[in-house]
Amino acid sequence: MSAQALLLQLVTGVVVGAIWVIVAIGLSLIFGILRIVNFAHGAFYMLGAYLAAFAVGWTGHFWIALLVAPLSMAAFGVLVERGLIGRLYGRGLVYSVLATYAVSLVVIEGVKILWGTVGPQFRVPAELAGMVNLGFSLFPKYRLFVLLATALTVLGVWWWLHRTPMGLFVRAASQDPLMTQALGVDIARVLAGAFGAGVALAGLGGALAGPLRGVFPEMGLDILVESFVVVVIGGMGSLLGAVVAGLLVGVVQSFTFLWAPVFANVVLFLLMIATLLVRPQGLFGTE
Amino acid sequence: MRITRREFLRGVVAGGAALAVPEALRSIVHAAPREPIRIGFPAPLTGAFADEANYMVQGATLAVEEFNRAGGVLGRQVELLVRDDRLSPDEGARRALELIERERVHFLAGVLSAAVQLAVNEVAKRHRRIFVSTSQSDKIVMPPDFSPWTFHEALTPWMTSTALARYVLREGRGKRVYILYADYAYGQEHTAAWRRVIGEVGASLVGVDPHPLGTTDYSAYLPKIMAARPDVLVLNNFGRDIVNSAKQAVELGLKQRAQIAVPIIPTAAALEAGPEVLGDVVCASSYWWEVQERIPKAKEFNTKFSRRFNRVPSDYAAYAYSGVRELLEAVQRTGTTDSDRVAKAMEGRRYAHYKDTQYWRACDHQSVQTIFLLRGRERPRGPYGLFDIIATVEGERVIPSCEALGHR
Amino acid sequence: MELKVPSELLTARRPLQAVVFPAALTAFLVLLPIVLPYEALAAQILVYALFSLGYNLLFGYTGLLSFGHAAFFGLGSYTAGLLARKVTANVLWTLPAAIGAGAVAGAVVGFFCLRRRGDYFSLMTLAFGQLLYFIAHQWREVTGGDDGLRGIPVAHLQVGPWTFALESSRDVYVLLAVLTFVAFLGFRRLLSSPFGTALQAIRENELRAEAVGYDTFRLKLWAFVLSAAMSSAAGALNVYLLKFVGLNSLHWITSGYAVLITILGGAGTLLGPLVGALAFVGLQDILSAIPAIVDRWPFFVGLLFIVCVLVFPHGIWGTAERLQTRLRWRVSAAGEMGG
Repeated sequence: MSAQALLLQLVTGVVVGAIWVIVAIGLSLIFGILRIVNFAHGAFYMLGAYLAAFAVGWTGHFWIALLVAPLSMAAFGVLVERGLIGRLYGRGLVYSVLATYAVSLVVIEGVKILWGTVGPQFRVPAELAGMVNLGFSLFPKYRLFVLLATALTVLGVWWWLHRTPMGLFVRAASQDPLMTQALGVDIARVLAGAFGAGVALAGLGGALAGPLRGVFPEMGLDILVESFVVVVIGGMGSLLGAVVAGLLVGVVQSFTFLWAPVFANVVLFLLMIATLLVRPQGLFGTE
Repeated sequence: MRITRREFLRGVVAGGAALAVPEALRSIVHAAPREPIRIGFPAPLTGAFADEANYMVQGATLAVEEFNRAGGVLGRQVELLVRDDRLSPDEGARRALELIERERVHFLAGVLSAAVQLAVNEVAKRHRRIFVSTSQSDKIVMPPDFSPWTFHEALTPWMTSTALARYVLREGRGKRVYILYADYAYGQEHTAAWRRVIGEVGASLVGVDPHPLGTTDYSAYLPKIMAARPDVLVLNNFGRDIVNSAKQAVELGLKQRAQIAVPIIPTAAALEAGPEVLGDVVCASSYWWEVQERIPKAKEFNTKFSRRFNRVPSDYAAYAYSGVRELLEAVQRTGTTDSDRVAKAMEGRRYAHYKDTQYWRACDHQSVQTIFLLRGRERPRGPYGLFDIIATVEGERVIPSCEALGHR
Repeated sequence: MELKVPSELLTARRPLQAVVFPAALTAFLVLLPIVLPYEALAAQILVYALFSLGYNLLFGYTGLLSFGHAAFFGLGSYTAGLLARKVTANVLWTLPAAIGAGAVAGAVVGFFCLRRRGDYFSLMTLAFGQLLYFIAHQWREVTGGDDGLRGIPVAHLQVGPWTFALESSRDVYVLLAVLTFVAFLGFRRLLSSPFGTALQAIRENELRAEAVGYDTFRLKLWAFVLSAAMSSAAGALNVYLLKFVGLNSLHWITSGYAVLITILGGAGTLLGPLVGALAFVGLQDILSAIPAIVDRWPFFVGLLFIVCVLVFPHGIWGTAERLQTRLRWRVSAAGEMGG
């Protein structure tokens, strides 16, 4: 194996990891603040891809789609939180799991009822088609764009959490919801906002992955479980953890494909089990 | 929320009524001679092959409608009972059991995945019902899976890949072959055929990788393939897997370096991938609508299909149409729905329902038929004009002998 | 935590229950295949009822939420299927083997997972479930991978010189009905035993249970093992019915079915799993028979669960038991006042 091929394999893994990063940040945010394991996250990812594909169809602009998909998913997320999830706080893990799983069924099957079992076409936009020379190899422009978009998203989320009042409340609520409320923060709005933001990130992930992998009703099923792996390894509720773990898992899986393809999926869950056994709070989580 | 719940309950009550009434009726009707002829038709309406499955259901529907318009079969209406097998063999087996036990279907037909087809075939075999399979598999025409009630309207992977591989490796760009295949019956069987032809023509296999059925991101497989510098890249997968794997290989520039060959590109996948991906890609097919330029029967079928469904028929729509049509004609000829007698009437018969003549080989019930080799056009002729027909191969030239398949 | 009156305490006061319960269960099992449109459906309901019965012991009674029980269901299926293909299709061998495999796997998986609590426990069970799924997926020489296991001979019961083949769905149903009867009666016993009481004490407050002197890890591990063994038995029975094993039996969505059925029926109630399986599988069958719905039934199941979570969090049987309890209190209160 030449050095060029190994480098290419590395970059490839990083890009696959980048999509996990975006989706997992959303999942981690929701878990960190609402203490909910969101089984609807894959369905939200899928819905985001659909909305983006439609937005491209209507407006002809990929850039508009990249805004429309997460924004409308945020609104949808707030709606779901207000109508359902918000009524279940304090009722234990199982009810939130059940509720989000039910939402997932309704969203996936609802999409099939509305738009059929075959998804819309979603092609790589013309301005991002083609390849760039990375020095060691040619590489699809769009995949590099996904990497860039992920970096910007991570920065954006960090800025939101650390430089805006809403972010401050969100962080406060994740540490001590009671105290936060006692200080006069409208905790219900904070929780709805955090859920909306998490859902928006799932939608953005779907919108970015759509042109690469196709858009179809079941597209979120695998990535749901995979992002659990990433979130657990990185540490539930940790932004940095989701970023590092997402990229790490992407690269590890990419090289497993190269050397021992049989273990490519097994390795994900072995990593997850090992993390839970040895360091349950994850790489960057706090107890 | 309250309204939703009430609506929901109403649905349940209506459902209960809908369920109870036909059941009661059926028990009265059961003995009467006018009972409809029921064909159970499992198909992967959801999952990676959903697009092509819809074509298949339309093909079968067209055949059934033609008979019903002409007064039915034996004076009885024909009912097509479509079930979603969700591309999973356990679900396929479950639905087939449900079709036989609950709906009391007389025959089974359809299915698109090799693995699901084998599972459905087992259920049909146990209940001694004819199953006309419209999905590719080698094992289904071989013992122990084959049964006297099994009919295989589709081509086998062996036939398809042998035809394509011989063409590509004898007249193509080179002899270094890399195979990426979906890791289930279909992909394995096609890969086995490629391996044999590679040995036969003295080409070399520089790499083989299996991928799980329904994989969406192939980027991790591609650097290895590029590094192996193959002359021919073979994608032994199906449905959405073809679209994603071919698209991602092309995006990485593999088309400039190697001839991409795919055993079958079902029409739905071809339309989804489009000419940017498929230009210059070669494949084999039982049917491509543009064969109508040489075969009048195809023109007739295309017209009927597009008038009814507003699009050109796909290869699998044609299988389903032909398989169901052939089955019902046999019922008509024998005057019975008894699977044993209908099966005897089908064995060895020659027929042509949508292209040139094909026939059921007696030993394995394989439909021996023409294979078309296609090459993607860089510049398509209209929205559907994606392929040039570059060769035709007679089925008899690529089918293994009965003895080789384990039939006496 | 809310106060919950264990139903067993109420029933224990009434000796009549000892006869009524088995009689009612027998009547139900006899009537089920007659009322339903076809026998495979009745059999499918009992398979899921047994699967959820095992699941309920862990989740409903011990308070441990597992996301990975498909691992045991699937393991039972593959064990029974492989044995039938390679060694014997005699149920007297394949069923105990499946149960044994489930118990051993339960002990191993439980040993690791029970080192973690709450969400971490749940995620760990999910990880083990997925691990097994992908192992089965890749190990195609043994499992058949994505193609599944075909060519499984018809299961039979061989006792001395007599052999009963489980050819039709009706045959399988009879076996299932007998086993369901035994299992539910056995679980009823188990739950009112000291072991059952201890599990429920753990569910209500693990720290207190520990303080009282229970070895909670051991108790939880036993619950895990029993639960896994039961799920595995259900998996084997599913093979007798379908005569096929597919990867779906190990998929996380199958784990989800156990959770859904248990909660729909009523977690922590003895009959919850049976009622839940009847409702879940029955509803699915009814919905998919409606031409306008057919394959879109999960949409309505999703809506049902949203309603269930918001309005009937205790499930069908759980809600019924609560109403009954409340009614009985009211009646006895009225009686006292009158006297």
